[in-house]
Amino acid sequence: MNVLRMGVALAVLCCWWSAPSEARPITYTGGQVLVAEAQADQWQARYTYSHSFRHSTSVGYVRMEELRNTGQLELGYVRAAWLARRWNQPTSQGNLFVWGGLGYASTDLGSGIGRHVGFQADWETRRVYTAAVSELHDGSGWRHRNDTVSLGVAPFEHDFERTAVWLVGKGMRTTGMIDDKPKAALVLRLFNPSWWLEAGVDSNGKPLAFFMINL
Amino acid sequence: MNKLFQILGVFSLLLLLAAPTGAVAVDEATESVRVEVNGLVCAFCARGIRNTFNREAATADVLVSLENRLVAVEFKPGMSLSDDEITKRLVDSGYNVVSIERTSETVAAIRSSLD
Repeated sequence: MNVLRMGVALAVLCCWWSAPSEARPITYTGGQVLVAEAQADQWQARYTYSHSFRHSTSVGYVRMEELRNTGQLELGYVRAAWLARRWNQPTSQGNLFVWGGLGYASTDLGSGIGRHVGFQADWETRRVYTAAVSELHDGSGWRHRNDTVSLGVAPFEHDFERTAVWLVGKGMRTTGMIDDKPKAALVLRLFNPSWWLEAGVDSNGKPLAFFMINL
Repeated sequence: MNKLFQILGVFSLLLLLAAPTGAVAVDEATESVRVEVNGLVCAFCARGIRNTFNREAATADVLVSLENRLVAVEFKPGMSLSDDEITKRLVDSGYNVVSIERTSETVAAIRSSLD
């Protein structure tokens, strides 16, 4: 019942809250992943090493364009992520992750220390996926927040060795952009134990893509 | 001399009769565990389970089935992991163990029975 309540709470959240992807920031002990993500006005790349299923360390890069005050932003960072809570149920799993780190940022106004924090709450079965992700990039004279909520449906239940197919609807918003109105997006998500691929289009007709590989 | 041949004949017969018993003994030596696990919903995430058990010297084969909420591990002859060790590895992989059942089935047989 707790899982049901959590799922309903996340679904409700989807209705009012709106752009990072919601691939998990921690995998498993010794797991290494490479992530690359592209959206209309921003790009991310990240390498993550998971010390355990609860902790990981990442080295990442974010580039954002079309920013209202700073033109563009480049942030290279090192961050640590922590699985604050996991709910394992017979047919579902829920997670709450938080992360934070420091790096070096460069904007049209100058360079300096950049900060990077975020959280992710997700809940999934083999047919339904919900997630809420928020990331804050912050530095001297600038601050941008990426918020994403997702609701995904799988047309069939995948198994371990099979490639999973999901159709995921997203609500996204990045504050501080010239156009910072919420956007919707629809993506096709495919994954198996080795790789994860998403591709789709947002409500402005711009493509977005995400790729993650288990090393 | 005839008595010697008779003894050898009886001994050979006993060896022949023993041969099938020996084959069964090989099957009986197979030890596997079927573990019911909570939280198995994502193939990308469950890869850690397979990696964890494949790193074990005692592991001969591993099966992860999301459909059946099952992790099956077959051990090499004469080797095994205790229930506590299995539970620890699955908990450290981020999952909860519901039950552990010892079986003489191979993982290949378990896999076939699930197909």
